[in-house]
Amino acid sequence: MSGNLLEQYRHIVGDERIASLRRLAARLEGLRVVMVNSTRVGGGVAELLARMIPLFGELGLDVRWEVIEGGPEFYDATKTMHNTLQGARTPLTAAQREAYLEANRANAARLDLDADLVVIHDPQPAALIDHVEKRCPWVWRCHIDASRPNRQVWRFLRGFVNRYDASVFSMAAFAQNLPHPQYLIPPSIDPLADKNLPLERDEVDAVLAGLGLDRGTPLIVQVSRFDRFKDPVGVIRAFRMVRRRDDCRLLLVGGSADDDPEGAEVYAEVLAAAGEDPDIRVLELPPDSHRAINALQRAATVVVQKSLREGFGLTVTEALWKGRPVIGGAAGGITLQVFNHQTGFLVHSPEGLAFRLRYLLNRDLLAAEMGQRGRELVRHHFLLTRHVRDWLLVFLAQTGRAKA
Amino acid sequence: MPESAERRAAEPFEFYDYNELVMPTGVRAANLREFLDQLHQVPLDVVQHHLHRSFLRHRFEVWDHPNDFARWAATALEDHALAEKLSALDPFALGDLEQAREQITDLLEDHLDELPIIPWVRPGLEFHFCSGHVLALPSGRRVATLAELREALGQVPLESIYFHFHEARLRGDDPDRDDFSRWISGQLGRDDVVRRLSRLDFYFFSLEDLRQRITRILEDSM
Repeated sequence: MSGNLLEQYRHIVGDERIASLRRLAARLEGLRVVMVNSTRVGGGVAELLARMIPLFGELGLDVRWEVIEGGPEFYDATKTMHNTLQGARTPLTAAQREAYLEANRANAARLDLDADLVVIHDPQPAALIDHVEKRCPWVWRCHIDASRPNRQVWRFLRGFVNRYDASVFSMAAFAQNLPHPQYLIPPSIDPLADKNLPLERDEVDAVLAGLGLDRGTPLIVQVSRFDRFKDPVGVIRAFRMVRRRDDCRLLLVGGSADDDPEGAEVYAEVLAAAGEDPDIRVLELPPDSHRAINALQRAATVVVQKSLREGFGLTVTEALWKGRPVIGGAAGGITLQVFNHQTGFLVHSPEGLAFRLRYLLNRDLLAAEMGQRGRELVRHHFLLTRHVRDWLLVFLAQTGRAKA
Repeated sequence: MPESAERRAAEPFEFYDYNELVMPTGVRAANLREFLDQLHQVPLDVVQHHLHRSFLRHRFEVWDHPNDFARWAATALEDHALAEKLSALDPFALGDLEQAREQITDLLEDHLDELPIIPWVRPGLEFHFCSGHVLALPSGRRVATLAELREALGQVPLESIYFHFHEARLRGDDPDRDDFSRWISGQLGRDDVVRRLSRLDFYFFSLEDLRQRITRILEDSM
């Protein structure tokens, strides 16, 4: 990676933010950190680490990335853990527990965990702490929404988590009753990633043209997987109410639902609700369609995220960063990003969504102002550089180097 | 430019970097009674976090709900009378944090006494009590004149302005004195500028608004 990666953020976040990062990092010069997760590619955590670790390197820290490995039984167990921590009722079987513990035992012997600080991401490698001689602070980073975990599975996991020196959660609602300090590090987006970098107008037009769309008609876009909690059918109902008076089109963009039986069911419901309406487009895009999604968010007149339940809602962050007003369901992290009349509107029903869509479709200037305020909100709070800063603060707090 | 605007301080003013990491406690409240019970018990740093440091969180409706308690009352409990009462509290006039806590809990008790039912929030809108891990470090950026101060104010992070303008009042003996005023008075002898700064009703400004207003006062004084 080039040595001036951090400099590429300077024109986005300003000189002082970069200088302040360097000043914080100066106290951590040479700190050896090892981060452990369960995959090097695919998924939000791997994506985040791939972008964050080079920045730590440029700031003078020695941050390594290790990946835990296991057989199919291990991944089956961790998938169950992941789902149950997000509320699914399925219990973790004795065989799954054993597969989980065995993989952690084997990885503890294999991985090089010699460092000044160890950061363990998510539940998969959490039990490593039971199989090594602990010589430095260990921090558990939970990326998932564990606000309503399956109690039985959480009790099992908490046995390991209790031994850590600190935990990090993405939202205050996800925090738990734990015997050590808990820190809040909200998610972030990378303004230089394909999904968010500025695009030429021609590229946006080409993506639209590929879908048989153009900029002539206002476009309402929701980007999210086909999941009932994202209420795509509610969005279609709202669109039909708007369409009676206002000329516009609706685009529902989601990932492929091949490996998700419920997703396939919801996708079918969405297609049925859309019917033959030529102004409603339902798109399934491959998971690496970052630039296409970027283009569609930029082409949107209004972005919608009508979730009934939501973790943080990074699609909202992405849309705000592109200067688009957002109408979101009043749920989870959407309420931290969407402020009525400021960056968009929070709604509680398809009727509410329809009303606010009509409001924004008929007020170009106000919509543009909201978009700009949204972009500033993201610039201050939800970019990768802030994420890096938060980690530096955790490192300082846990190593006692703040006073050095 | 009058001579006093160019006067150089013997001791320069140094800006601090102010970094806050939010620390959730895992304690939450789903109705006003729970909220009150928890507020009686949480550490004082939690009170400070929600009462004072809410300025740092770039809330657009900051002029309506300048602290986290008022915001929750308005947006989650949807008890607008309570939100008004909590918004009108001036945290810098409440005394120390323990006194501030007492006044807020008294206010909540009185309010609850008047209600026929205890207001609840919908799931997902609970109040999550948090504290903060705060690190203020010298930034190395020093200024020696009013002009330099004005220029730096336009560039430093907003958190730095919070540290020097808001939190300074909690550090010193005088809740009406911020770091800029102390330095301008002590080093530059410009009490006219200090008087204008003291008239800023800063509690109702976002940090960006405040930055612009302080800058304007300095410009006018040069």
